[in-house]
Amino acid sequence: MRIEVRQQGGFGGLRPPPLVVDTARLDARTAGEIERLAETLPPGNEPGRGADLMRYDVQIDDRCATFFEPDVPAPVRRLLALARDAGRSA
Amino acid sequence: MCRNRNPLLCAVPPYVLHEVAARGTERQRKWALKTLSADTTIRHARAINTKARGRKGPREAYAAFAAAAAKAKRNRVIWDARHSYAVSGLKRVRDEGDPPVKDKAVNEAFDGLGETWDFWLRAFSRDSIDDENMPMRGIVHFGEEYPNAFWDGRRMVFGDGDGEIFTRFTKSLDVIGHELGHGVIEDEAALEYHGQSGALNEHIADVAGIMVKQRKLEQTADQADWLIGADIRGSEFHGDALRSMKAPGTAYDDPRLGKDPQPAHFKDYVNTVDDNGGVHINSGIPNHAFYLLATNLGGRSWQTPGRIWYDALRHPLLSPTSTFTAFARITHRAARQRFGTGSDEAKAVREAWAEVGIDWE
Repeated sequence: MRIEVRQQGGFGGLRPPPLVVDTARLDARTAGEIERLAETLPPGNEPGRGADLMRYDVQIDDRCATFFEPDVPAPVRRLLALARDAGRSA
Repeated sequence: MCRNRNPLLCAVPPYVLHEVAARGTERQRKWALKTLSADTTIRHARAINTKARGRKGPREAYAAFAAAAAKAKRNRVIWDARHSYAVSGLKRVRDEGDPPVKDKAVNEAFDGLGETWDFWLRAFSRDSIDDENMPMRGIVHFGEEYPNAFWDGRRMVFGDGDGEIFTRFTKSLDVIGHELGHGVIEDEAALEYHGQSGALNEHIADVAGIMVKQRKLEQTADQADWLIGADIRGSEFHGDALRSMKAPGTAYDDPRLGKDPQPAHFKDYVNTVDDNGGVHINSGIPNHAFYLLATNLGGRSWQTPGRIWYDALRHPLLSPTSTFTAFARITHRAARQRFGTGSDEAKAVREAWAEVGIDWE
């Protein structure tokens, strides 16, 4: 499974390079958790009131969902954290 | 209060003027717009005075207002998210009057909110975010290695950064001043957070942040670095800051973050769907105009330039969807109203906008 996370916004308005994770290249435990989270990914949320909020565009194979701070669902947070860690170790 | 002005105008409520401006004949529209713009500062001062004094004469009113300002008290509360992503149900870790705690981030947020509150009161006689002593709420340690600070409509939220690219966002007074500035902007003008109005929202928040920092450092415009976010850089951040009002587009050039994309001139305006239509990108244009104005006039940025910008923020002609040109014209109008039609200040405002490519007939 291929997962791509694009982050933008925040105080800096930064747009770091997308994080791309291929679960086939991860250890079985991490890959399994990411795939479970990805399969139940919610449809996204609406931007809330405020300024400098982060936005995450998550693409899983051919599906895409967008999430806005501060109401990012907990399973999506977990998925973002795992993708970040996988990106670091890649 | 109505000295030198048609006393009738003082009796016309602003919503009537807005109606006339929208629906009247050309002559009526001109009259209404002129009256609205001339009336705003005095009307607001009168509103504040009315709160403070009831129905008293001008001399008593001033004394009552001064007394009210003297009584205005900081009202800060800090919560600790303990690295969760929650913004409610958190542990309250420092209130107004409490001594410092062991946690640096808590004290930095608390002190930064205090500096910012002082700035608004001393520079513009504004009592907190809403000018009505709204508590200044801050949340620290939001998320895990969270590289951001934001305003969520009620409070300022600070992450700790990853320690490599970014450190604690509470370390930076201009970040704290910026986030609280978003609260003031929301209260006064509710500039929509996309496209040009969104970039103006970001710009005015940067102006607020830079003025808070420069006042704390007792710097004049020519002594200041005009950098936003210099104090949150981690050891692996390649650059001087996140934004430069002096030289937009030069703040950083980082292998992971890319190059600072801010333009300094309207001809380089970036049309994009990212970042809410480039709100943090195109804010470089008005940011640079403010820098040019402040350095051209000299002295303290929060005095003449800041005063003009604050008047513009509260101007009835500023709408939630205002463009750069509309805002520029309002700052020019505000300068003329405060300093005179042919004043050096008004001329300098127009020149600063022209230098960044924003002009009007």
